[in-house]
Amino acid sequence: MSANTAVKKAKKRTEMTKAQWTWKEIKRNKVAYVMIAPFVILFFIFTVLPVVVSMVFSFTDFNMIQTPNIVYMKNYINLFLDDDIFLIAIKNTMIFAAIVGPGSYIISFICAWFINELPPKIRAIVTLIFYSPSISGGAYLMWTIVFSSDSYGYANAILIDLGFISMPIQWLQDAQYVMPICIVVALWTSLGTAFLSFIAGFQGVDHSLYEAGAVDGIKNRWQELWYITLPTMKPQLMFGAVMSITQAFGFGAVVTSLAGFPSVDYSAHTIMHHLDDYGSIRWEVGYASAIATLLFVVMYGANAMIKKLLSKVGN
Amino acid sequence: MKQSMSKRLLCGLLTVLLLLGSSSTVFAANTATAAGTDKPTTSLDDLKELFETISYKEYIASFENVESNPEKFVVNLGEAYIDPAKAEEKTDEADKEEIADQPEAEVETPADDAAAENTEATENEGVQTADEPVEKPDESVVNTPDAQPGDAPDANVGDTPAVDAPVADEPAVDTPAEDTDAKADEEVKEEEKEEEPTGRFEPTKETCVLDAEEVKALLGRDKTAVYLSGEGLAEFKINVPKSGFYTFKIEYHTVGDMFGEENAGGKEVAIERMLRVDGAIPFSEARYLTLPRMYVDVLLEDGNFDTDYVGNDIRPAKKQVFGWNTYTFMDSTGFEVDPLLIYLTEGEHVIGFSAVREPVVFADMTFEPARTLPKYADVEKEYKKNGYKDVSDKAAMRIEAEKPDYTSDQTIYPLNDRSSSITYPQDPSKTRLNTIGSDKWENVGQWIQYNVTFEESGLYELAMRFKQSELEGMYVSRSIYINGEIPFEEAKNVEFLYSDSWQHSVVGMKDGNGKVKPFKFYFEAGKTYEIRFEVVLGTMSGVLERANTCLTKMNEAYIKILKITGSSPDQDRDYDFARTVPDAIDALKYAAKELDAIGKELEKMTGQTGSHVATLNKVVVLLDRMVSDEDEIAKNLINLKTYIGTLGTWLLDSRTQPLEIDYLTFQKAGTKLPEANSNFFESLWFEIQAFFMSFFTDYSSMGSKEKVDPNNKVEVWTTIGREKSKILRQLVDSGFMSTNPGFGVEIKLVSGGILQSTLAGIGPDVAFLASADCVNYAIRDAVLPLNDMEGFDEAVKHFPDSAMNTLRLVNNEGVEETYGLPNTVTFLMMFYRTDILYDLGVEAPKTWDDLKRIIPVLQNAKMTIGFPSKTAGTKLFLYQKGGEMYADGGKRINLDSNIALDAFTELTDLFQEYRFPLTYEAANRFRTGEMPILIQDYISLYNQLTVFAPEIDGMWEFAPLPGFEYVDENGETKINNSAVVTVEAVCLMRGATENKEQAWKFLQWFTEAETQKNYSNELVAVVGQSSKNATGNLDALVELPWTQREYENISYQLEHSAGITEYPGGYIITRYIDFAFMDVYNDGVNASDAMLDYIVSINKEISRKREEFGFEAYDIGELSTNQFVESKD
Repeated sequence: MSANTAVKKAKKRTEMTKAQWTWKEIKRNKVAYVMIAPFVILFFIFTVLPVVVSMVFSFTDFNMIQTPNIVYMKNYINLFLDDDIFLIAIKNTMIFAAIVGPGSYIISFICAWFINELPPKIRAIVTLIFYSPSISGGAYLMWTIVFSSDSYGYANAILIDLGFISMPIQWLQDAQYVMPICIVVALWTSLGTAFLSFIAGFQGVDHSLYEAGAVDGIKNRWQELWYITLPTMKPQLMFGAVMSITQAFGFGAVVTSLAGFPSVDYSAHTIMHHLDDYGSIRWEVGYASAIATLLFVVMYGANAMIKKLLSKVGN
Repeated sequence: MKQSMSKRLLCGLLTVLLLLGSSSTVFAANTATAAGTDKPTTSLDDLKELFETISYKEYIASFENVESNPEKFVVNLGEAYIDPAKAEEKTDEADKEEIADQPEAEVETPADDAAAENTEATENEGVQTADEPVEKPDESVVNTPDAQPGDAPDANVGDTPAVDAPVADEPAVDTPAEDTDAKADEEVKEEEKEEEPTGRFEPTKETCVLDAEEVKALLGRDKTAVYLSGEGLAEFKINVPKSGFYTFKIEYHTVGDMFGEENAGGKEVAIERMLRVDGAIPFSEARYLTLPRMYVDVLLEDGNFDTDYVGNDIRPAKKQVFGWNTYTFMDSTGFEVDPLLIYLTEGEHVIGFSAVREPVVFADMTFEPARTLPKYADVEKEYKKNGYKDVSDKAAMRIEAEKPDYTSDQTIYPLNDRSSSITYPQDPSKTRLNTIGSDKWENVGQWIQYNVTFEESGLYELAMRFKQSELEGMYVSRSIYINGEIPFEEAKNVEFLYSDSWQHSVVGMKDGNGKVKPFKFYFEAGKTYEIRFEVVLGTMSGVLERANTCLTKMNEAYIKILKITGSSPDQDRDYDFARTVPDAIDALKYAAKELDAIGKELEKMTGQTGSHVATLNKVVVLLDRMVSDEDEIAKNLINLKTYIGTLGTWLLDSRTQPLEIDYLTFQKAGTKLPEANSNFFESLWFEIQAFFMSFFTDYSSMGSKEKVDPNNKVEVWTTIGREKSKILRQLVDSGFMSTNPGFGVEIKLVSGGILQSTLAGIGPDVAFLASADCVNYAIRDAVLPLNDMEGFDEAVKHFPDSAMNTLRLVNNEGVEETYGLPNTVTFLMMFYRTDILYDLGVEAPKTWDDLKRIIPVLQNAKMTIGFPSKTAGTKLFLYQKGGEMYADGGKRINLDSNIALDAFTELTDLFQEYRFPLTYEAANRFRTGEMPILIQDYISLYNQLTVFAPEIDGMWEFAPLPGFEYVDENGETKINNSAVVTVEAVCLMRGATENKEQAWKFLQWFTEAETQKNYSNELVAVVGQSSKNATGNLDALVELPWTQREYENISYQLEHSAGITEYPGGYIITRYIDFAFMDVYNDGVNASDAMLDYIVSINKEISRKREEFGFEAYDIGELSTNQFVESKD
């Protein structure tokens, strides 16, 4: 046995082709591969494959039932040149992403920062309270009661009682109000994973660094935050940012349950809605795949941009 | 059940009144058609009689100090019947002219007396008989006594001695009436000679007298009787020997659709009549005469329950048996425990029965003095005097309660109790039907009957293992009848106290020491006794009646205050209620005091305080606060509304008397009873077994009798819920499988994913789909067209064309195809609160103009109307104005036509001018009276109100929609009040390509009238009154348990309905109409402009979709130029 190994070790890397060497390394680390296999297989089947399939479908006119025909770029051409609603959807998604993405990121961070200052026991409780909107799945539905268009809805009832209005406002059926309400609700639900990771990040900061910083001339809490805390928790910041931005782009379910589908005059119609519209109402899966592909590209781009931005933290 | 019943009764009353309004029903119908509508309406006069009839208490009180020496007498109703045709002879010549107008009657010839008499005499039996007596079936004789099911429950049910009294000796029937009958009989005999007996009596719609021979042949009793049809009023002349308070009993025979036929269904609802004395309803309780039917369980020949392939018991089917029964004049609400009394002076009176629903045969009517029952102590003395002795131990008779001989309702069926391991029979893994009752046996008047034959003569005590775990701090009551009579006063109200587990005790009364002293019953050996347990309110009745009065008063007071303040009163304003609505304040004061007293009394009665009293106390606290300080009234009005609802629910709950029984034992007095509950180890062992068995149990069987062969089956996917699927399963086993052997049917409950699985090739053969999905899947080849199937034309015939329209499409090859058969068909109807409309003095609108006239009246009273907005409203107005949704065969939208723009403008005007609310919770606002008129989907609102709003029971009804008046080509003014239908269909999916014939057979079977009827009735029986099914099958609709009036309204609306074909791209329409509507509503955009803005977008989408599927389409570029938009003047 030992002799065998000795013989193999004798063969140098330079003597092997790249493939040979890779194969050898794989064999050497086979336990690691076996351990990661379940995840990789599932990830491939349920994430990578669908994405690839969807990209392929985006060049066809697949309608769920009949055999698809290849239509080349027609879906993309239609999407950009002949689909007014898509432009509305892009506009809305951008607004959402621009406000809710950074908004929720900042709110998450600020909340996490404040909570971090609390004594441990209270901190645990407050964390739970802040995190609860996003764990209790459909809790945002309570906003439908608050902003119900019925004259008995909370917002309407209060305004009527105070004499500001005499007729109930159609909060969720009036293009004027739908978007702002959805944004507020989105921010409210956004204290999710990003928030948790920030809290973890804050706690992971080594306290000796602060002491060292104080010695090195840090004057106030802002400097402490910028030069010590933030650089130390960069991985968490990165994770939070990715989560926030993906959430903001993939925003749709909340709008649907608040304002219905489609929202009045497409006032809160996002790319996700557009995708749904074509995918599950019109059954134009080819076209929907084109939308999905685009969304994928946009998200990927946004993530790359964020990475760049975050690299500037602490500099 | 009671609640909806009383409402239906109310509707029935109104129908009857309408019919009375004209001299002849047939004629009335003709004039109505000529006038342009035959839509039933409710006039203010109808409502007046409804809301101003005094209560029974007031009625009795009004006869203070009158002489009362009632003397029992019997009237044969067959002989006492006043034939309206004969009665009319005495009236003036005008009648004859009216009759002469009827083309069918053919009495154009100068009306000599004989001819007129002939015509008039037959008129009530159907006009056609005048010309074609041979075809007239009603009086034909029948000679099939063996097919007579009456012998099953039969003769001795409640047979009173009085009934046997020789009819001929009765002085009650006066000569003219007899005269009339004699003539009628003569006529009958003449006709009999002319035709061959058909061998079966086929009741027509007309009321008629059956002579003794007919009755004997048909119904097995030798006396004259009268057949009362399910409509109209029948009157009888009686002669009262002495003035006094009388109660009465009626000997009746239940009738199905056809006499004599073994399984003739009849509607599965109680027979209902309204009593009139000398033309008027004496008191409001007399409106509700409910004559129960009788049902038996269909068991296997060995007396066991049928089982599915796993071994679970299957709930047996209920079969109605037709037979003689006795009705005692009782209060159907149960508030009055004793039979009701009417005061009759000596001499001639006319007793009338207005039909609410269902035909029935009446024979003798016995008038008696008020009931007096002996005390048990006296009965016991009697036992001693007769020398009766206790039976021996061996004589004990144990009866499994889940197998009763008869029940009053089809809803009382055996149940499965798993709460105790010693409930017999029991099995840790399989379903065993082992108890009966519970919430299926809780309404006043429902009974269960056991026929018991004893082996030993002597005195028995009665022990029961029962469970009353529903009414905490209260008891439920039952009356015990033996052979139709309550043996002694105490058996009138046997109380079952609350406990959360099973109880086992003897029926008896508490003596001074609180010990139960069992009642003894004397039974003779070899004789069969009919022992019946009937739900009564018992001692609780008085209290509940008072609470009910409070509820009514609070409701009235609330509406009065609402009319001044509106639904959200200004808290700072001084409304000066004491001056404006003093009676409302008094009513609240009264209710506060009364409810407080009731709460205290309840506590005293049951010796327990519980949540039930707490509810009352909460209401009292609120009322006290409101009456003590007037400012609080406005502040708490919303609370008052909530509490009225709470009180209504409380009352409903308290009126229900659920009791579950495992078994009963008749045994020697003093026998030691076994434990009522299993001990700890028994329970533990049972649960352990059950837990482990649960790993091996197939829960998907859904009660299927045989395991379905996976290679030879029709797979049905439903989205209709577990209960419905189970019922469907049972119907398949009992009906479909027996007539279609050779393949199985598998029913799967799914929650969607039908299209996806069809795509994957593992989809169903048959699926339940909304009509829009059905067509959309079809153009993608996932649903198969049905037109070529065998018997397609026959299957479609049952459905209104409007419903079929939604499932049809001309395909891309220009062939019209149908893709499904309707399962349910729903549509909008108008619901209204009769009490509020009566109070405001307005009638329910027939046209939109009527409605507009009513709006200011309602708005003055701070009320509004619940109206469909957006797409639903637009569709409604569009089709009522005679418009269409699509033009050019679906190639473009028609919303830019003048009619459509008018319709849309009119709709948006309603919302803008009258400020109709856009969003509201319909049932809630209807119950509170804020929206006394509501346009809603009829089935869902009806079902919801039935359970949700018990406190407004009998104060609402629904009618066809209002409509637009128009002048037709003949210059007559008509009303177009059609509704747009929504259809859920059953479809053949692509998966059925291989076994198309078999799947089609299932489709045919499921949509045919018989199955739809059974399915709908089972649904009501199993799930309850709130699960009425909106069948689309017109022939099945007749058979459903609606009242006559409700049926007329629904079928009228169904006949006056439109269905919108779903063309490719149809989904886009709703969206853009909604957008246009909201633009107008929110931003005040001109309605036509708003709509026209979206026309191009809609047309583009339609064209795009049509092209995708190869349909002929307009060029998209062409559409963009707006060339199709008509200019609107």
